[in-house]
Amino acid sequence: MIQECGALRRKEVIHPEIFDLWLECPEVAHQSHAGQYLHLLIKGATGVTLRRPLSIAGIEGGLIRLLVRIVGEGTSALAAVPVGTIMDVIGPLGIPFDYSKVSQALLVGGGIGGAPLLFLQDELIGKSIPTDYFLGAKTQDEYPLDPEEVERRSIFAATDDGTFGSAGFVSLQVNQWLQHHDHAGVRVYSCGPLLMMREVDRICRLYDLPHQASLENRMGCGIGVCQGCAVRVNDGKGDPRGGYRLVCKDGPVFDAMEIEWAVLGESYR
Amino acid sequence: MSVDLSVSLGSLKLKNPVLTASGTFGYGTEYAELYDLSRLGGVIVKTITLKPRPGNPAPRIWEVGGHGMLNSIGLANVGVEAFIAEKLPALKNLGAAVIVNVAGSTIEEYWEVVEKLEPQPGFDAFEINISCPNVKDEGMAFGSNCAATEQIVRGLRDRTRRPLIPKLTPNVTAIGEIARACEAAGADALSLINTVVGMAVDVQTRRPRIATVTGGYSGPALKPIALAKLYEVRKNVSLPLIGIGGISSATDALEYIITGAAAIEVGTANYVQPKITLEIIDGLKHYCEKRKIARLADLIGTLDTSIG
Repeated sequence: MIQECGALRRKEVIHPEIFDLWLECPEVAHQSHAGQYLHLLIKGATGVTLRRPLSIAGIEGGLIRLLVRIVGEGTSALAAVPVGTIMDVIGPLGIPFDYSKVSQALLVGGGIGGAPLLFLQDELIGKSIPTDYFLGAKTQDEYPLDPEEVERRSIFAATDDGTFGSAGFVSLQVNQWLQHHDHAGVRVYSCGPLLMMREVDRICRLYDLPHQASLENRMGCGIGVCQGCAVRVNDGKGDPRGGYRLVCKDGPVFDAMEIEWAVLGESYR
Repeated sequence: MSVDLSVSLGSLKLKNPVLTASGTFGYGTEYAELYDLSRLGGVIVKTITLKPRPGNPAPRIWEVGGHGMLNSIGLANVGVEAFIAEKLPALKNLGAAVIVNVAGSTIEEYWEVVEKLEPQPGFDAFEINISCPNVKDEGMAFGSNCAATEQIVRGLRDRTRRPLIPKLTPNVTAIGEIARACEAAGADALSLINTVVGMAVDVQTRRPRIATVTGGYSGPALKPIALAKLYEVRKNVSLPLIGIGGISSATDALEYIITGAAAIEVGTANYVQPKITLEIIDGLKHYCEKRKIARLADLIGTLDTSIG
């Protein structure tokens, strides 16, 4: 974890509410792994007190890619930051994805949740681990990548209404994949809306597949100090934290078996 | 010119008046990766209780626009025994004062936590979180009752030689009376204010933003409230005071010092800008240099109310 100030080098609008940012933070970039995030200060933003946690979507040299969807005051202010602005970043934070002993990776992303899985795909390809990436969204207008990148990355695209890629939930595609392939050495990685992740979790339990899920939450500090981003886990080992884990520091990547999916939605409300 | 930034809280000497507020600085060493903690006047660790506490259900925090945040963490902590075994040793060579914040859900629990900590080396003072609900008194905060406050502090006075710093809650009718109760019971200094009870509602779902409905409000919006409480307490007691509430710049800190605070605590601002404490220390020095003030301590309580 370091604090670094770096310029916003590039900003590309994918849809009016989804945009791609590239920050020049070589020191943070050098230490970053897929699954980790930055805690970003949006200076001078009105209606914002705290930093914003954003998944790292990729690294290119000293540049860090962030894929951002406008959901509130913080992300709208971030969208308005002009290229060239110096940004204050703390990172990389959190536990990265684990792909040791994996011979086939299945990446399942929903909407803007696809961001950390892009970085994971890059890392897996770098390690020559066979990878299939399923990325869904509600509709074409909310699809977080441009079609050219989807093509280049050989992503299996899906939208709920069939306006881009195949029609239907991305979890259906994963289910189909599993029905037609060998499961030896398969590991599943998910990030996206709660309903999607719960369905992926159900499928993984059905096929007895290891599954790592990347969660989000509102955060204060980002380093485990404020304990604001707690989520319920089924610990049962007398852990002093008594069944809570912090998304910022114990996650954001968790073993999906640990997560109390039935009550997770309460944390996000 | 050289400026002496040191201040005294009774027998506790600080090399500068900047402390980190309990609950916003973990067990004291988490931020060491980002900067040299020995530059601080001191750190105040999160509230330690007799037994481990898992904390409250989620959601626990809510940002209130640009004004601050609500929290309802529920004093999640490892408990006094694990704190002594696992956390306290790392604080020994911090190079800054270490203040341990303690609480209990009964008066006896406050005493017991301090009894367990007192023989341990590696820290300099106790801050007493009296804002906790008293389980034997329908959850009324100890710190909103003079008799309960006095009983806690008096009991602690018999159990420790270290400086005792009760942390006052602003959620009371007359904070000056609570301050006087602390002084009578043998407190060495007072810190104020703890968070203000607050609440936020999601109008789409008609649900409260945090699971416990109400929580503690902190951040920039608190500064005027906290300054007024400090001013009131200063008129009631002669103890050294520590100002807390919305401090995120040297100017904020100076407002407190001029009003009567011998030291200040930085809370929510640590999350936003972890190194803000260092900027505040540098800013205080700069202020004194510019005005040829040799000792920062000479500024304490110099508020001029003669006009207006």
